[in-house]
Amino acid sequence: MLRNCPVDVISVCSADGSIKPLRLRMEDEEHQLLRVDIDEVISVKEIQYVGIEAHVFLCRATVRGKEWMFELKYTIRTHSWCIMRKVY
Amino acid sequence: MAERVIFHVDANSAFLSWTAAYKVKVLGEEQDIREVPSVVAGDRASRHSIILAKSTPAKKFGIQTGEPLFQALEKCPELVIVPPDYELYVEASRHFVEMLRQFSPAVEQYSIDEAWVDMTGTQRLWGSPRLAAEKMRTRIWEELGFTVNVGISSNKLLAKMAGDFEKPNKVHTLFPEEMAAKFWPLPVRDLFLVGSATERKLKMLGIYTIGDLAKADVRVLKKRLGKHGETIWHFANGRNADAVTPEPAENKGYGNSVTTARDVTTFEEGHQVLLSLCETVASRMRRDSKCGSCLTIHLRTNEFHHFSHQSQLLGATNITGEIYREACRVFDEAWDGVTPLRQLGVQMTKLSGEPYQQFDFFSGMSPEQFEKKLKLDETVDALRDKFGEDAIRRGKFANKPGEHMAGGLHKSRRTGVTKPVPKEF
Repeated sequence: MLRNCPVDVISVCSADGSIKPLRLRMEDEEHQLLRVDIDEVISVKEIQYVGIEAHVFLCRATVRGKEWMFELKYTIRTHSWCIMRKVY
Repeated sequence: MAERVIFHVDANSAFLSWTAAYKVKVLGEEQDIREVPSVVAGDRASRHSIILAKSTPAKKFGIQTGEPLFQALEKCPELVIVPPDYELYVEASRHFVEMLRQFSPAVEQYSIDEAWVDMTGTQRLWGSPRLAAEKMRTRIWEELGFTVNVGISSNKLLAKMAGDFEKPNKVHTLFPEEMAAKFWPLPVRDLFLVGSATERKLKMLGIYTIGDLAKADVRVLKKRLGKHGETIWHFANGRNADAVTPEPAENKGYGNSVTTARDVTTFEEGHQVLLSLCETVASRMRRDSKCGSCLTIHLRTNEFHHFSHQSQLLGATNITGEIYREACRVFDEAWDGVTPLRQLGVQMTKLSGEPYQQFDFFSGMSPEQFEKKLKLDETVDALRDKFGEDAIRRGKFANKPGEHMAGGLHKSRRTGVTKPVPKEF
């Protein structure tokens, strides 16, 4: 179960201030580096649970021939990215 | 003028639910500590570790906020203990108040986790008070991830009482016309500003419920309890005209206390602790250019009995040495010298901020001596500000264990949420 997994991300910060993740890199179960190109950002929402502001991107990507849908979170204060949960 | 509408908004077991919300919503943990017996408390090994907040299941074991951790563990050995995270609480509190400001500009923060909101005249914007409160509660839950209680009434006191009714995650109203049904049957102890001492006195007068107090003769109350009697009588009748003031009020007193590493059993040890407290209290007063003329010593024994002793000074002062001398005198009077003490506190009240000094015939201190002592203390303050608290210490603390500046919050907890943080920290 993929949950709350910290990842490296390449993203675009546009001129209007919006952020769009393009590619991420993570460690899989066998401790192999896995590179994932994000095919589509379906939705973005801003959250601030307990006052911690973050952006949550619902993303679609193809990983090893299978389609993944997952929530990618960017925490503003720490500038860190993580996969919050995998939908499927 | 339209009827006032005041909300009292209180985060349910704030520290615990903020930690819980952080763990579940931010870290993505599965277990919600709100659903198991859990507490927020300091280091298990530390002697003065006390329960800062508890979950509802922990409450069922009879665990109370403020009791020592070891006692709570005796009641429930499986207790989940989470350490406090002040940075998180400050952030949560800031967003909590910001959220309230979106409903009304008049928000008065009462503590880190509760605030009053003046919602008078917002009916066209947010609907009826109940509806507005529901919106507020839901938004805080959905956006910030924790639950609050909202008390609605026409003044601050009744709103606060309503907020305390049934927890968690509820909206309650307590308008003056509802007092007979909801407010008066409650035990008198539940009333704001009624503690155990007042409760005892009231019981001797045959007053057991808030209703009894409301119907009591105010002259009798005044005679027995002084001015406080009249205040709580007005409270029991739901009368309180205080406005919601967004600016924090000025300090009414300066006090610090410390739980010592081991029990105090001799006068000498006691005096040393008092001196370390006087140092911090007096330096805080000097920073705000305030003098105090009433000194109170608080003592707590190893069996958690609390007692205090007060003394009226001849003139107002903020000189460390002066306060210390008086504190020792009061301490020697109050303590039997046998009972082990675990906590000592020093408090200065009856403040004056006058730029002049009233001298007296009896203390034997001339204006020149006073000036000299003040100058010395101010120099010490300046040194400590610049080079740290340990830069200079009194000879009494040389080669001895124990802090030389005791009490007050640890630096990590000086948050500035309810009180501004002095800039040099």
